[in-house]
Order: sequence, then structure tokens, then C-alpha cells
Amino acid sequence: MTKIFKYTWAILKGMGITLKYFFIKPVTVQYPKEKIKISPRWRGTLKQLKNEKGEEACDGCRICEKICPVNCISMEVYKDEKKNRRFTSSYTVNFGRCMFCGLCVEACPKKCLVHTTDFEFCTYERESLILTKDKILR
Amino acid sequence: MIYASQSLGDLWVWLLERLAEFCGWLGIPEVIRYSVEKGAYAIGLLVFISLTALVLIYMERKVSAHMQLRYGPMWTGGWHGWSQTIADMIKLLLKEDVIPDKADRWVHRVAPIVVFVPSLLGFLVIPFDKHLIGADLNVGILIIFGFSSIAVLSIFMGGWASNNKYTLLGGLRSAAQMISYELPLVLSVLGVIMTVGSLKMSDIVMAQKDVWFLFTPNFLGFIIYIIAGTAEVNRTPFDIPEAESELVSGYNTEYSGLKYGFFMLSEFTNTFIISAIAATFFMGGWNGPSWLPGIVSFLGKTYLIVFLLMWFRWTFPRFRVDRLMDFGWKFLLPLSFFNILMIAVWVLVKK
Amino acid sequence: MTETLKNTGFEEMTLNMGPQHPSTHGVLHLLLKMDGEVITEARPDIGYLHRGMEKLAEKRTWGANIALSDRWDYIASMSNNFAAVLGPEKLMNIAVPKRAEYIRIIMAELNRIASHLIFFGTYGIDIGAFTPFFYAFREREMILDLYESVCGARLTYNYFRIGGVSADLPEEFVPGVKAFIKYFRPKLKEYDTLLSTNPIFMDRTVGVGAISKEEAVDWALSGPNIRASGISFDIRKEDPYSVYSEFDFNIPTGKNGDCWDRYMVRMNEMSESARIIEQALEKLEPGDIMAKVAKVIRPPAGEIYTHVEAPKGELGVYCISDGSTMPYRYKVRGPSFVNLAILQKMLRGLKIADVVAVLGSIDIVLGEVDR
Repeated sequence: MTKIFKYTWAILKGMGITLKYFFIKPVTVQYPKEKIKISPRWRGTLKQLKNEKGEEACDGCRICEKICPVNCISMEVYKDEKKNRRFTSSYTVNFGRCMFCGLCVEACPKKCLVHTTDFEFCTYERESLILTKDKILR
Repeated sequence: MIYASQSLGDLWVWLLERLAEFCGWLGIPEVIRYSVEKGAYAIGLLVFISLTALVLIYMERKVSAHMQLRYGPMWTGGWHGWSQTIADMIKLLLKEDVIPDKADRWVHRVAPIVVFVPSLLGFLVIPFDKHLIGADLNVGILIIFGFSSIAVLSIFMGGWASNNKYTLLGGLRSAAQMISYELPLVLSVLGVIMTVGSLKMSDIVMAQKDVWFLFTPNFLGFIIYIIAGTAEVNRTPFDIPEAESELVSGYNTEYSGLKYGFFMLSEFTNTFIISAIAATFFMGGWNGPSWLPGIVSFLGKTYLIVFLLMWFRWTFPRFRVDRLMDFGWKFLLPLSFFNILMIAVWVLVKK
Repeated sequence: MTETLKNTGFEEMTLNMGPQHPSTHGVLHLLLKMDGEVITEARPDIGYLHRGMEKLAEKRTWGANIALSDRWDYIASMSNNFAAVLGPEKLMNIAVPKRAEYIRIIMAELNRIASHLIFFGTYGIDIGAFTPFFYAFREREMILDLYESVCGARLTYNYFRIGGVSADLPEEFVPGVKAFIKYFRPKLKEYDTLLSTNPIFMDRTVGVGAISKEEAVDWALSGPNIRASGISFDIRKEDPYSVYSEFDFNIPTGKNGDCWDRYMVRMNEMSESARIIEQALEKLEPGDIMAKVAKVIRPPAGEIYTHVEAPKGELGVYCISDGSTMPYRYKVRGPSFVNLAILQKMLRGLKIADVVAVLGSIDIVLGEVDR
């Protein structure tokens, strides 16, 4: 008999909890309308920075290309004799392969490859996931 | 004259009188008048049932969502996603109707109809308001239980015909469950019937004019009824025939499109019927404060029970099938016999 | 085949549970032979999520293998990272800075809470209660927010580095963790009221799928599964790695080794993890987060086995280095994989409803089983 009362009490307590939350404001976010705050460290799509002169800061050292575990970065480098430094003639990141591990950003000696906080880069075609230099250099 | 405060039942009676006058004036035979009267009621009932199903599905979503810290549907139709269920119904209508290979096609097709029609017929004897009852039969409650036990057959048909092991298990489980829980369900109501001395729905409601049976020794019967009723409509903690995490979706795994819609619809209409009977038998039906129209009072009580069932569903885990049988036969059934004994003594003492 | 079946001429039913099934926790395929609802034989069929992690690791640098380790047990990536960095660190004799050690432990223990929260939620769903899942995920979301503020990812953290961690904690992290712990403790009690002491839940779990002490050892179980059987085996105590020996915490154990014990061990572990985190936060002092490590990591030739106490059990990494930038051999001992093996023995004689209860209580992640 006491068992029945104990069970009933346990059941009622459980029901009390769900009822309590029934009247509490939900915690979910109505996504496209309101967005949660993204941490500034968020590892989103990649971005190349420009230096103070307004030209690309990357000097094509190819470290990011080598360190990438999934080989999604590819670049072509040429040497500019006048300015006595290297430039990239093409810099392509295939975000269809990228796993956003952030190793390339960490390894970049010039600190010119950074993550953006962008996480909405869904597309309808795989081709548009391959970003070329004009889209990465911002 | 009709006032807003007057009940819908009075309006219905007033309309019937006007119809009778009109027919008498035109000399229309009685048969046609009767058909028109009942036909109008049936159409009204059908509209009511489809609206109820929509409201119940929406309500289930919202109740579950808010208990789980979610909002539920919020976009379709603007205000809090009110038209989500309508959109879903349209989607179900447009979906491809798949019949599995090597299924028993005929039984597979018939099962959704067999599950839906009894749940519609059950509405006939539910007293919505004073005179608002399809047929005030003197075996009212028996009709409902009779029809609701046909649902077992259809679930078993659906489970068997789908040619799928999960549906077969679901069908077998539901057969076992519903048969064993029909007993306590009927026995729990027996207490009320003994107190009133009639099976007629309107008599039972009238007997509760002063005090609801909920506040008499019939309280125990109410609890048994709610538990057995939850099992009868296959809702958690007794949703063993469906058992999502075990049997995928139980007996309706292989159904799609409109046929699945029928199964779902009947689940919600059955929920409504079970709640409506609870409201009628234990909570005074359309009895209520005089300023409140009877139908509002009745629907309010019904939806309270519906909310209770939903509350159960979103709080409890699921029983295991053998424990369910244990619980039904070894605990609930003796308890309902005890309830009958208690009520019998109470009725004697009262006399 | 049981005797009754033989005598009556009825047949056993073969039921393919999975790989598409709501409660096989991914793509596990269970071949069940059944006599009605009772299981006479069960055979787990794995490999649907095989990605060749160990072979892949041989073609990745040591550093990149940490990013790969995120994908073993993808709901406890920090523990995987931990296991992945310990081996090369030992080979290269790197002394990890104190601050980095404490950060690692905070991360690993937070991850243990997050992993057990997922267990709690999904176990509720397995048993049939949907609502606890959402409560568990609300708390887990807070942990993920903390992780996001540190390393910028919510699932595949890739936070540990050979010699330390990749980034220092942001300012709001420590108060955030403290607030979380404070918020989390009462919630644990709420879970107990909602699910642990619920009569129906206890009815489903107590006495179901019991593993005796001997069996637990024979089948090489680890983690909460072996502790539920009453054996206090925890790598954090048995073979303390990192700085775990500095902390004061208990190892919750069960008695009967049934589903409820396994469940309760995990629930109790969450509060123990919270205790460890609190202690680690107190010991946390400013300092370096990375040891002096060469840019290109070339551990000296040799072999080593390192293991950590992941939320699911003993996660071991056996690696052979030939002195190059990539491991020569990289073997992962996934706890889920080893724990899953006992399923075929436990399921015999149980009902189909118990399959999900038992499978859920072992707490497997198919990413780690198949690798």
C-alpha cells in the first residue's frame, strides 16, 4: 500500500516538473528571425587579410596548403621582382572538403588567413562551395 | 427568442421546431423531415470532428513543445503557426500512397476505414449539450465501448496486412493490450452506472446536476478510467502498439498518405471520445454555471482531460509489454472490482 | 531454438533491427532471432560508418591527427583529443605547462558531462519519455556555448595540441563555467525526480540486462559499464594521466550491473565531474598554455600506448612512430566498440522492448564503434 502511495507521489512529482516548464518561457530560438550570438573565435569560412598598403598580405609560403589535413587549399605563387616578394596568382579553398579544423589559420606565419564568423554558406551547387581568391581576399 | 447566453442545445431545439413547422406548412412527409434533421446533425458532427482533430493535433504540438522548452510550429499561417496542421493534412493528401509488396492489399486498404468509422460513430451518443445529442439511446455508453473495441480489429488488420514484422508485432501487442484494458475501462464506468441506474447518457448527466461524480466515491473509478482510457487510445505510457523506439511506428509503419492520416485522425478522435466520456461520467457533462453555455462547459471539461492525457504522454516513459499486462490484470482489474464493491455499498447506504 | 518452438512446429522470426531504426543510436544493425517477443539470439552487425580512421591516421601528420580524432566519438571530442595528444607527448618527453593541464581537465570533464547528458536524453527517448531529452540538451547547449567561446567550434573542437592547447581561455569562460556548475547541480536533482525515480522507468530498467562482475571483466568492459557492475575501475585513478592525481573525487559504482545501475553511475559521475571542474578552476593560474614544441612534430621512433578515461570508457591509442612526421601505426581502442560486444550475450532471453533499454544503457556511439 505504501508502495502505491510512493509511486503515485513520484509520478506526481515528475508531472509537476513538466507542468512547471509548461509555463516557463521556451529556450529555443526562432532561427531565421533571431540569431544567437556567435563567439568571435568561431571557426567559420576562411578570409585573407590585406596589409596596410591595401595589397594582399599573403606571400605564398604554402604552409596552410601543406598543413591542411584534407587538402582543401590550393594556390599558385609567383615572385614579383619589383616588390621583391611573392604573391599568389590563385588561392582556392574547397569548402566542400574543409572540416574547419583551423590548423591553417594557426599555422599562418603572416597571420593573414583568418576565420570569419560566417556559418551560413549553404548552396545548391557543389561548385559554389569552391571559393576562389576574389571571394576569400576581403 | 434566442439569446447568446442560451445554450446551443436550445438553439438546436428551436431550429428543429421551426423545421417541423415549415414541413407541416409544406406538407412534407415525416420521413424526409427526420432525414433532414439527422442529416444536418451528422454534417455538423463531421465538421466538428474534423475541426476537433485539427485543434487536437495543434494542441498536442503546442503542449508538448512548451513542456519541452520549445515553441512548436511558429511560422505557418502567421500567428503561432496556427495553420500547421492544415498544411500537414494537405501534405498527407498529396503524398504517394504506398502499399508494400506482397502485402494483403485488400485488408491493407480497408484497415484505415475500419479504424476511422467506429471512432466517428462513437460521437453519435456523446451529449454535447442539453438536447444536443445524436441519438439518446438507452444503451448509450455500451454503443461507445462497442465501437471502440472494433478499433482493435482494424489495428490488427493494419499490422497483419502490411507484411512487416514490426507492424505485426505492433498489431499483436495492441490486440493484447486493448482487450485487457477494455475490462477495467468498462468496469470503472460501471460504478457510475450503478449510482445512476441508467445507461442513458442524458440521465447520467442529469444525475450530476448537484455534485459531480468526481467528488463522490466514484473518484477511484475516475482514476481507473483515466488509466485504462489512456491505454485504450494507445498513448504514452501505454503506447506499446506504436512504441516508436522499439517498433519504429508499430502497426502503422507501412502506411503513408491519407491512410496514415486516417490512423492519426482516429487516434485523436478516440482521445476526444475518451475525454468526453470522462467529462460526461465524472465531471458533470454540460452541467456548469448557469451563465456558461452548456457546450462550453462540456468542451472545457473535455479539453481539460485531453490536456491531462497529453501531460501524461510528455512526462512518462513507456511500459514494457509484459509489465503492462501485469499491471492491467493484476492491479487494475482487482482495483476496479473493489471499486464496484465500494460503490455498491455506498449506493446501499445512501438509500 | 526454444523447446516449445521445436515441439509445436512454429518458426523463429528473424528481425532486422537497424541500420535504419529510431533507437539503434546510429547505424547499428542488430540481427535478432525471436520467439514471439522474446529474443533467442542477437548478433550486432557493425561497420556501416566505417571511415578507415586508423589507416587515415597513417597518412596524416601527428598534429592533423588531433583534428581527425574529433571524429571518433563525436560527442566527446575533447576526450578524444586528450587521447590523441598523450602518445606523442610521452614519446617526445614534453612537459605540458600547468595551466594547459588544468584547462585540459576542465575541458575533458565538461565533455564528460555533455556526453552523459546526451546519454540521459537519448536513454529517456529509448525508454519512451521524450521530454528529458530537451532538458538535457538545454544544459548541453550551455557547455557547447562555453566550448565555442574557447575554440570556435561546437562539435569537432580540435582544441588540444601536442604540448598544450590551441588557445587561452577567454575572459568570460571561467565565470561562465562557475555559473554553469551552479545552475547544473539543481538540474541533476530535477532529472532524478523526472526520470530516475519514476516507477515506470525503474520498472523498465531495474534488473534488466544485468552484468555480473566476472562477466564485466571477461568481456573487457570499461567506463561506467564496468563500474555499474561494482568494479571501481577508472583510469583517472588506476593510471592517472595528466594531473588527475591532484584532484579529490569519487568513483561512483553500482551494485547489480543492471540498466538502472549503469544509468545511475553516469548520473552520479556528472556531479563528480562538476566537483573536479570546481577544483581545477581554483587551481587555474595564469601562465603558458603551450610548451616549447618544434613546428614540425617528429616524435622519436618508438611505440607507446596511452589511454584516457573517456565518457564511454577506456579510450586507448597505441601508436608507433618511425621518426617521421606521420605515425607508422595508429591503433585506437574505442570503448564503445569493446562494450558493444557483450550485447549479444545480454540480449538473449530478453524482450524486444528491453533491446533498446540495454543498448541505450551501454551508451555507444557508432562513430567510435566503426571508426
